[in-house]
Amino acid sequence: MKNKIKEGNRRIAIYGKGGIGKSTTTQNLSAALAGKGKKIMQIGCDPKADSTRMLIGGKRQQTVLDSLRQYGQVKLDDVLKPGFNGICCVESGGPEPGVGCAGRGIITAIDLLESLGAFTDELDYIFYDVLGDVVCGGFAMPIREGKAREIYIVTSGEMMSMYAANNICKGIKKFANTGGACLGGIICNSRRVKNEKELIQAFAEKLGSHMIQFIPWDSIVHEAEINKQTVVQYAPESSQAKVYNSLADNIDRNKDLVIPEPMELDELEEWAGQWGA
Amino acid sequence: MSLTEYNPTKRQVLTGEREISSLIMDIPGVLCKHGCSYMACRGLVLAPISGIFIITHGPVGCSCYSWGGNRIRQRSANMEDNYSRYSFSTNMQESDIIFGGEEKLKQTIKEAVDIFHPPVIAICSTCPIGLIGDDVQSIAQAAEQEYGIKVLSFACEGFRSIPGYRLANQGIIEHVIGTGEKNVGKYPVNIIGEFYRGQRADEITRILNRIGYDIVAVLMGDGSYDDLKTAQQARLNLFNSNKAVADLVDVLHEKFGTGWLKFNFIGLDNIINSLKNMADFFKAPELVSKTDILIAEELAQIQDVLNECKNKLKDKTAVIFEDEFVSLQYQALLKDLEINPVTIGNELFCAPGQNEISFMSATESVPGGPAKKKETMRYDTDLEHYHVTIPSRLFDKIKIKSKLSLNNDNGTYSRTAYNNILIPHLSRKETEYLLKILEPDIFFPGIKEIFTGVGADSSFCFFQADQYRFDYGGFQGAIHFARDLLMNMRMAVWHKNIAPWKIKSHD
Repeated sequence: MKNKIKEGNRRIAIYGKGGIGKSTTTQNLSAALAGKGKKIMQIGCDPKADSTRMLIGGKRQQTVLDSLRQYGQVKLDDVLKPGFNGICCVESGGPEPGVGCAGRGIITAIDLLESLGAFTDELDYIFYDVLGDVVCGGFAMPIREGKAREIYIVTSGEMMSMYAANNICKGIKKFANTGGACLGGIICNSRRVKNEKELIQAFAEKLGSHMIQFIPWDSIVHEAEINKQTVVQYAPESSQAKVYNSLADNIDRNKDLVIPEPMELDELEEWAGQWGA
Repeated sequence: MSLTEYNPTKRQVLTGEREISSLIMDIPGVLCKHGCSYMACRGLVLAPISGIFIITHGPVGCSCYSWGGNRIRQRSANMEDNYSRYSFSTNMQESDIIFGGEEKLKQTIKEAVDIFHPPVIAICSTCPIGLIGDDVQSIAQAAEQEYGIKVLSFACEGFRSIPGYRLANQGIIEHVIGTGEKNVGKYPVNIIGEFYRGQRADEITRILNRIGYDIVAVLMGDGSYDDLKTAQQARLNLFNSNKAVADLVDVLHEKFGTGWLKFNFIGLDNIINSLKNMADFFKAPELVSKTDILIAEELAQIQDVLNECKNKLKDKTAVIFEDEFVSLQYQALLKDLEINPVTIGNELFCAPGQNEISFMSATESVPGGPAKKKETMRYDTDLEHYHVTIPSRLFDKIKIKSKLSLNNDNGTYSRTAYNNILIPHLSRKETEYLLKILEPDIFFPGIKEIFTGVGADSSFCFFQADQYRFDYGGFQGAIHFARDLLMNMRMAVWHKNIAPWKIKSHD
């Protein structure tokens, strides 16, 4: 029996260039929202299975596909791990590097979770933390068939990061009519690029969306990571924790969902050239 | 002219057109009887080779539905090592696709070796293997060292745009041919082509051995792996195929210096010319004299029966609605019985030099006729177009009866060599209309055209060689064909069996 995802749930997928800080941002965001009393499930869609690390205190949890590989079947109790503030943590997992098909693995894992009834009515938020680019059908799974309704893209002011963000928008636009997933906004994770805030604001507007939060660079993120905790948990009073809380508020309030208008490659290069000058 | 006095000035052997070497695959929406790259690799080339044990690396369906394939008439060269009746698969399932199928493949090879002890294993990959990128080649190499047998791997994923028979042949030329030696006769030959199978293979072997040739190896037909290893020792390749493998003989010539000849064992003209060309190739007087004696003896054996049948069948009208390869075979057989064939070619497959199946059957129905090249290519499947080639004698009949405006001035038809008329660009409806007013005595429909005959208004007998027991290759084949044809035409079913919707009710 498939249990349908409740209409009231907020289903959010976070995309962005590899290494840009998606997992860090998503975990801090989940932690901040959980602090406001929301029930949350975070699903890591990455064969590396590292997207819930800071929420469950650095322990490696059993992934859905590990379970499938070892026992041939999956039990929800094995793969759902309660984390910080009661956040439900799941990892899809995947094959060893260089073999098999990670994309197919993600499709299977999400289908399995759905058929096992992991998405209960009590949940307010479901987060999909997806690796890198939308390279193949498997990694587009969260934005297909209405698995996720809102998409947030994490980017910095660096050229290749915006390039990836633009590419992801192409994927969103492709599935917008069938899946119904829309772009909720752009999260700027600063890499200390000149005029970064203004640049990403303009970039977001160019895509037809808006910048939902500017996250400044702070070494405390790194410090918290070493301590296997989110910033929200490690240093709740720090300015960085306040930024994540503000992001959580902004996303909680956000009603501005759009189908993005990605730029052609030449157009993007030309546009970025104006800013570089 | 008596058949025994046969002395052609130019010895033409009609085979599949050698120039057709392009790799365009099937056009979606057009009914055809082709498979995928994997099917061709496994079913057409590898399965008939005895000694090769095939492992299908992929989901079990691919393995099951390609089991046996088109080898209905196959007879294995060596029954002991014949694995073509088995179907062995890695049975890839969802979790194997996700985590990679390499472990499962290793396990499968181990099981195959333990159970069957085959001298050589061939691994054929199916679509998902290409997508997930299993490293089949290195597994094959590792298994080769571990078990001390030959393990070949073929990247013949079904979606690949290279036909599987090419991949299989390339693999065999690269890894198999030239790895062994054996004692060969004075006039060693190879046979290359899917025609060498079952009864026809027996007949070819009988005749070639009688003259003194030694068949070293067979590629694409019922051969064996041990023979293929020594194929480089042959001096001549006998080639006939309707697949895009025309460059195969060139590659073999370049690599091993083996010469090649077109070879066809259907139709008396083709057989005689093939044999005489072979004798000339070896430049041996004893072969020439032996060939002449054999031809005379074989023809004397069938002469009486053939003449009798010919008297009954002479000047009948036959329509051939088949692909090029089969069409050429029928034309050769009908020529021996002096029946003039009307041929219909499908324009969708008829850009010469671009396609596997060409339009040559319609333009070149008579040996030596100039090949007519088309400049443009059509892909619109709504507008299926056909070319019809008709002997002049029958054309006059059509011209009187037909409501079609057939006019030479504006190019609705043209004269080709050997007193034939070509009517190009006919629609399906017009083709069926022509068929109706032609009132053929016999109709040869291909698999996809069989219902054209069934649904026709006037009933005429139709004939599909696949339904008959005999293969029509060789000298005896000519009279088997004549007898089957006569038997078929005289069956009452064609006149008495009326479709229920055509019987008028008396109520």
